[in-house]
Amino acid sequence: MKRMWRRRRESAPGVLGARYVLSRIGQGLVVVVGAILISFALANLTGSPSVATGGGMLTAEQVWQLDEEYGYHDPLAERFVNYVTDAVRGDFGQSYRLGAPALDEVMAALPYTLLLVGGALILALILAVAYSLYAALHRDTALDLFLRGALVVMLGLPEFWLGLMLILVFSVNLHLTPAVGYAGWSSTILPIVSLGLPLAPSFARLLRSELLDVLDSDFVVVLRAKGLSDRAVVLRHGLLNAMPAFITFAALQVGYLVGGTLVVEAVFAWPGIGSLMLSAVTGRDIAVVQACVIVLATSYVILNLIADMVVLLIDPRVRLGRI
Amino acid sequence: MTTESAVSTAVTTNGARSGWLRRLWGQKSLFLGCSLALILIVGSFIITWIRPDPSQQHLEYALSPPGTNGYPFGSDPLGRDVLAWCAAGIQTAGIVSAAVVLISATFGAAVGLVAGYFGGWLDAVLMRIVDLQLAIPPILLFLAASTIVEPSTFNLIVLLSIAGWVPYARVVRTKTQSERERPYIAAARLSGAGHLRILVTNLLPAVASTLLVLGSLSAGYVVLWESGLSFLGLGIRPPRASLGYMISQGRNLLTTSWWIVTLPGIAVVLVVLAFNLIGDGLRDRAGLDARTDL
Repeated sequence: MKRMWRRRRESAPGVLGARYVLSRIGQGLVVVVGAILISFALANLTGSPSVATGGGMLTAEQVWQLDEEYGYHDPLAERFVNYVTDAVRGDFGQSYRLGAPALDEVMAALPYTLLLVGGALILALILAVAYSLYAALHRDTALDLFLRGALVVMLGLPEFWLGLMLILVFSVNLHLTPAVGYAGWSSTILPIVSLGLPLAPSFARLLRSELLDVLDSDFVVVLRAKGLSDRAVVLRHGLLNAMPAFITFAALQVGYLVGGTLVVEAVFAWPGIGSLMLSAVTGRDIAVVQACVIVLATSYVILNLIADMVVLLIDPRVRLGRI
Repeated sequence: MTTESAVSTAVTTNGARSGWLRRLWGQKSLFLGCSLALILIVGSFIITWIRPDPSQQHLEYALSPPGTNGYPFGSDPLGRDVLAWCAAGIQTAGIVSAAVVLISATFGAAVGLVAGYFGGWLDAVLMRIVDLQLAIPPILLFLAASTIVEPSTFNLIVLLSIAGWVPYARVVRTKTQSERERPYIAAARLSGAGHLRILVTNLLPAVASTLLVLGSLSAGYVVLWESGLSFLGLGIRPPRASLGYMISQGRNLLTTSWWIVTLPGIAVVLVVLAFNLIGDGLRDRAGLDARTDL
């Protein structure tokens, strides 16, 4: 049994950094290839979409003709090569329902989803930083304990239900915001809150424990001995040292955010990828589902790559290969 | 028997009992979580015992507000009792999450044990598969599969298990790697135990507490997934009661009938809260830190 994980190479920091970046990019590419394989398998396990397209009204002959058009009569290997070469060029074929190129549909919806996900991430981040700063400075006070309890409850909030409750309170009763659809900035508030609020507790709990870990470490004792105030220690040293672990964690959570986006978009009739994908799934619009899967997987990979680069930039330990 | 020893026996028994209670009370989240779970289980069984058929429709009493026409929680557009539906839905959520956690924990633990114990190329291959699945958001896998298979309770359990085994594998592998270097494993091997025996009788008990913590924490997530997917129509469908389905029934009636959405939603929050409190409590007991939640 070799202990591969303990082997440490002694190289220049720059080389290690570059190797790290390359290996992360390699892993990202593997994921995108995996997504392409899955989406291909998807189209070919479901059988021909021609039956669904016609809504069961087509004769066997017409179905056969449609299959011929979509290339379902070619050998599997040939279809696979065609699919991959087309996918790499961004061509996923036409949407069966809308007639437009599938990728165009997805790209038109992408900004709305990014707005939602970005807003939710920022909201969760603000709440998490505010809470964990308070918890670090006032550990185990009554309010800290109360907030910890509130976080456990918030962790269990289903996004779709929170969204409906927000609509009930703010749109139906108070008439403050539009209930559904995209209509200017005021319509973004409720979807962002219902996506970001359930995300905040896991961020806050992680950041709090990271921050408390940092505050218990030796160098903080030195800083305190130097005469730095609690506030200065937490703000200048604690938060910055807690960041790398937090950023990595936050980027991984985006995978779960995709799921949250889906239900939140469904609740608010939001014109993003979630709604598109959901209607494509129920309508068996395979081309659009494939494009959605690949675009989402790619953006997820890019986001994690950015997070890794940021960590590399702010945490010298990673650059030196100590983690 | 002298009086003295009788007194001391009484004190020890009594002391032990109150010590057990105090320990549980000391771990407030475990205590609260267990109490909440108990209340939900007992409550839901009493309600389903009183009203055995939540799918029973009374169109003449459709959309009765809470407390009218004999509906404590009101009724839905088809005149189904929201309270009875919530009770049955809580049971469904419990069954689904127990099944998913059992299946995904068993599979994930098996992969983690094998990868961590044998190491080498087997470990490398298994961990690449784990990385790949971790990188693809579970909902994408789920939706991809939903285009192929029809939504049903069985399919929901299978798909959620496929989406959920990865954290178990990772955590168990890490724990196994540190555990297999300990002397008792070497001793077991010296005494002639085979790989399978070591894996099952030595390493499995060593990772059991970690598995328990992870399992109870992910049970809450499974409930959220189940209700969300059922809300979208991709999960559990009637006649089997699901909280998410009832919420979806009320979403277009939000302005007039608030209870159809609000009350089943509170039930979801309570179920998830119970699981999370138990998970938090077990985690504190096992001495793991907050970063173990996945």
